[in-house]
Order: sequence, then structure tokens, then C-alpha cells
Amino acid sequence: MQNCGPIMASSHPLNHVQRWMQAVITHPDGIGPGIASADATRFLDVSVGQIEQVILPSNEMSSVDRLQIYARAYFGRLIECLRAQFPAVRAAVGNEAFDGLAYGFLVQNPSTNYSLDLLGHSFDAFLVATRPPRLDPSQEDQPDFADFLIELAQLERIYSDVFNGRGPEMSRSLEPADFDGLSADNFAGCRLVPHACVRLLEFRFPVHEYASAIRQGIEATPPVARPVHLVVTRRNYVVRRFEVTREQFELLSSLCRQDTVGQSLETLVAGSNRDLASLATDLQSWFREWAAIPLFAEFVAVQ
Amino acid sequence: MTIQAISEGSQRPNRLGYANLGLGIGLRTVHFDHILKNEPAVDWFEIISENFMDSWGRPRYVLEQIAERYPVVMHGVSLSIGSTAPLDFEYLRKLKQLAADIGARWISDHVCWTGVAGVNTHDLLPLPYNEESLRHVVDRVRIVQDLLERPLVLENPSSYVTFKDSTMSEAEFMSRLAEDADCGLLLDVNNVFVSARNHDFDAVEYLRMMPHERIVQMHLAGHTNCGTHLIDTHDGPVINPVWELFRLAHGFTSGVSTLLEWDARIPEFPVVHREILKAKKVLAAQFSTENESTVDESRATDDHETVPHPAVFVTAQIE
Repeated sequence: MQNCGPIMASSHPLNHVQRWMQAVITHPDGIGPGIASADATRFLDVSVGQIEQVILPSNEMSSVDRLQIYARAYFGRLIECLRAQFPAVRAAVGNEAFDGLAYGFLVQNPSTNYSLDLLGHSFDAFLVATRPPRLDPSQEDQPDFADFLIELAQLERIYSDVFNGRGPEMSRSLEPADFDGLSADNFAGCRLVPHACVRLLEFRFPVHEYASAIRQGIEATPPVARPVHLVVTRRNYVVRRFEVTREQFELLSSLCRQDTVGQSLETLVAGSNRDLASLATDLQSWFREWAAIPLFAEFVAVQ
Repeated sequence: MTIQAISEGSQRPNRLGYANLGLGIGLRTVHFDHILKNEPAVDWFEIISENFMDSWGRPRYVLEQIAERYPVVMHGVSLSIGSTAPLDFEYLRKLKQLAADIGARWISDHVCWTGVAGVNTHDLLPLPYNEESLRHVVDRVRIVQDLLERPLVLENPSSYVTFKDSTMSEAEFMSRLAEDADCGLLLDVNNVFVSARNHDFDAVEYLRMMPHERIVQMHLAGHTNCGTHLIDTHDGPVINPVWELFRLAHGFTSGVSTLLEWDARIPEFPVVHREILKAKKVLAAQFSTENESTVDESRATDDHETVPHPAVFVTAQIE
């Protein structure tokens, strides 16, 4: 787009004024560089010294200082929202460093939706893209503090998704009585439909423990790495998380992929050093626990 | 008279036929448990529409319970009626659906824009007040009202800049907008006070100029004094000069639904409730700065970050 011409014009098209103002108040380096930026000058070609030809001063404030209120508020408000969504990440890195990360994130990922719930949706992806190089590249398989932060951000994003999304509260859940009269063969041929809020997550750190401690106001230090298999879901409108064993996680993963119960058990046995008979008691207990949580809405018999 | 009859062009009744609901409070998540447990004697609640439009969790569940017990009004912050970006019809569809789901008495938003070129700043950005922007906003209000099938109610924003391109005052802009678009007005008395100080205009004259019969609702709130300007922070009690403006506006309108907004440093519910109930004493001329816990001056800024609202993020509840 061409410059709109000399600033002497008596009035500027509304869309030029809006594109200009947005470019100025969202500029990462502040109002001055914002006014001088190509994103601003392509709509209103005005220097800081000419700013009164667009924004009038008040009795007590210069035009630049008045615009500055919006620039400060833009980043301040959205950083405040990210602090609220990622309290554990903030605790892990410290307030100042978190605000720096949030600022960098907002510069690269301005909000494009009316919903503030979506503001931090790619925060963990931003942390992945901007993670510092490992001190020792040969230790690629050893998770470091950056990996911890990334996983923590993923977990906190998922907590928000599960909290706001659809849950089991207003719909039916599978109960043990639903299986009455169902033969073992018929059960094996069923698919279990999970509630929409169920998430299966693998982490290299017990980020759930750290996140819970921070939310409870307990001082916590970043934990030592250990493999974690986690189920995140919701009950009575509160997000719940359960650590499960690797075997449980694999079985749940198959079931949530909509493999039949029989296929899921075959996959489990194939990857385990136990046979189905030795798993039988555990399986009964697991399915009871999962029904009580509740993880599944219904089963569908496959023809 | 029904809303349908009104929109067919008959004589406008006061407040576009919308009821005077009394004294209300902005519904905030920190008060959910208190409200559900105690069912306080509040006349009505106002919600931030965007906090519930896509929510299928506890906020929505609580809202549905509250809507069964109290009148509810929807107040939005992202309609962006003044933006030159296209209207977001998916947003409008969800807004209309939520209004139907909870039986919202009316839907309001602000005379502002929130972003262009695909960006949402989550701020209520000001418009230059001139013929072009007036035409633009009027056209969009008409489209929105057709889609929502009800008159829209628009609030005067608090603002911090004045455009050289403006050719009319905010009061004139608001008045002509309401008449030309045939919409209602939400008179934020605190915003008038804040903007009057920031833009060196006379708040009383502003109130006189408004088309009083179109004022459906009033807002009250606290703000912060930054020395050279005021910021609309919604983080404290209403100061006495704003109560005085409210008393004046009440006289002009003969009384409309009035709501207290408190969005930061939110105190316990009874404190918020007591604050809005001061309005009764103000109107009964029983309000005395000697007998009440009142505030004469705007609260001075401190270490607390001074950020104008509207953004209110709903924090997830985790076990």
C-alpha cells in the first residue's frame, strides 16, 4: 500500500487511522519506533515531531504520552492474562523472566481471537521454538530446565482447555452396571468412547506435582526428571489429573484411538512381559477406576 | 409495547422499552460461591459476554444457575463496532445464542474498536469522532441489530487520546449514533468523569447533551489518578464526584438500571454490594460524606499495575 500522502490532509480514512494506531501501540520497541515503523508510516506518514497532526495533546499531557497509555496497557493487560494462565511456569522462571517470555510471545503471537482463553494457546510452542541450545549437545536425551518449562506450559494450557471445554457433568457416563449381561467376547468387540475432556499426556518431568504445589501456594523447586504418564480430565467442573502406569497409559491410548477393547488388550499384551491371564485382575480394577473417574461416556458395539 | 413493535418504528418509549432492573453488580468468578450459597438480594447481574460464549465449564454452569434466580444482562468487550475490519459473524452468532440460552435482558458493548488486520488488542480503542466514523458505526450497528433481532446498547468509552480528525464532541457523536442507528445507550458515569478530566471537557454538559430517553443503563466504577490523567481501572470504590454525576444523570433519565463494575483488587462480595447500595442513599439525598465511608478523591496510582480494563481472564480450577 502506498503512503496516504502528506499529513497536511484535513482528515484521514478511518482504516488508515486504525491501522496506524494499532501499529504504534503494539510496537515492541515502544511508541517512538512504532511511529517510525513501516507498518505505521504506510498508513500515516508522520514523525514523532508531527504527532500533534494526528493526536492532540491535553492540558497536561503530550500527544506521545497519551498514546503511551495504550501501548503500556496493551502489553500489560495481556501479560497479566498469561500470568494467570501459566502460574507454575511463572513460578519456575521468576516474575521478571516470565514477563520477558510473555512479552516475546505476544510480539510474535498477537491475539487474533476475542477469547482470552486462546491467547496462550501457542505459548508452549513458542517456548519450543525459542528454547536455548543445550549446554552439551551430546546430552540430547537428557531433559533439561527448558524441557521442564515447555512441559509445564503444555500442562497448564491443557488445564485451561479442559476447564473450559465440554465435560462429563451434563451427560451420561459408563457405569459398571452397563456391562451386566455383556459376554467377554462382546465386550472385546466394543469401542469405548471417552469424554471430550479426557487428555492422555506423557512427560519427562512430574510437572503435575510442581503445578499443583504452586497452585496451592506451596514453595516448590523444579523436580528431578522422571517419566510420567498422566490422565487429565474433569469432574464436577474441576480439572483432575491422575498419574497412571505405562501399561495403563498404553491401554487407555489404544482405547481413546477407538481401537476395540480386544484390539487394545492385544496391543497391551504385545508390548508387555505379562499375558492376558496375569493382567486379568488388574484390568478389572482399572476399568472400575476409570468408570468411577469417569473417563468414558459410552461403549459402542462393533458389528 | 413489545420489542418487535419498537423496531417497527413506532414511538420510542424510554429506555427502548427495556425495564429498569434496579441496582446490579458485575458478575465475577471470585464471587460465584458466595452468590450461590447466600443468594444475596441483588436486583440483577451483568456478565462479560466473552467469558461465557465459549465456556462449557464451571463459569457457564454457575451462570445458568444465576440466570434462573436473577435478571442477567450481557456486556461485551469484543464486538469492535467501530473497527474497519469486517464484522465477526461467528462471534455474533455465539453472542445471540448465549443471550437466548440465559434469557439476557439486553446486550451491550462499547463505542470503540478492538483491533484491525486480524489482531485483537483486547482494548477498547477510541475512534475519531467525525462524519465518516459516525456513518461507519451506524451502518454496523444496524447490521448487528438486525442479526441479534434486538436493539443494541452501546457504552461511552473511557479514553486517553483525542484525534485531530475529530469534528464533533463525544457527546454529540453518541447522541447522533443513538438516533441514527436507533440503538440504546449505556451511560458509564465514571467514564464520563475520566474522559472529561483526560480531554478537558465539562462532564455535566456531556450529561445534558445525551438523548436521555435512549439511556438504558448506567455504569459506576472506581478509577485511578495518575497525576496527569485518570485511568479507568475498576479497582476501587466510586468517588463522590462520580456519585454527584450519577445523581444528576438519574434526574435526567428518571432512573435506569444501574450497575457497579469492580474488576481488579476485587473485595469480598458484601463490600461490592454495599458500594452499589450507596446509590439508593445518593438518590434519596441521604448520602452524606460525613456519615458514609466515602472517597472524595480518585485513588492515586501505586505499585499496582495501572491497566485499564476490560480484559478479565477466567482462571481454571484444578484439583
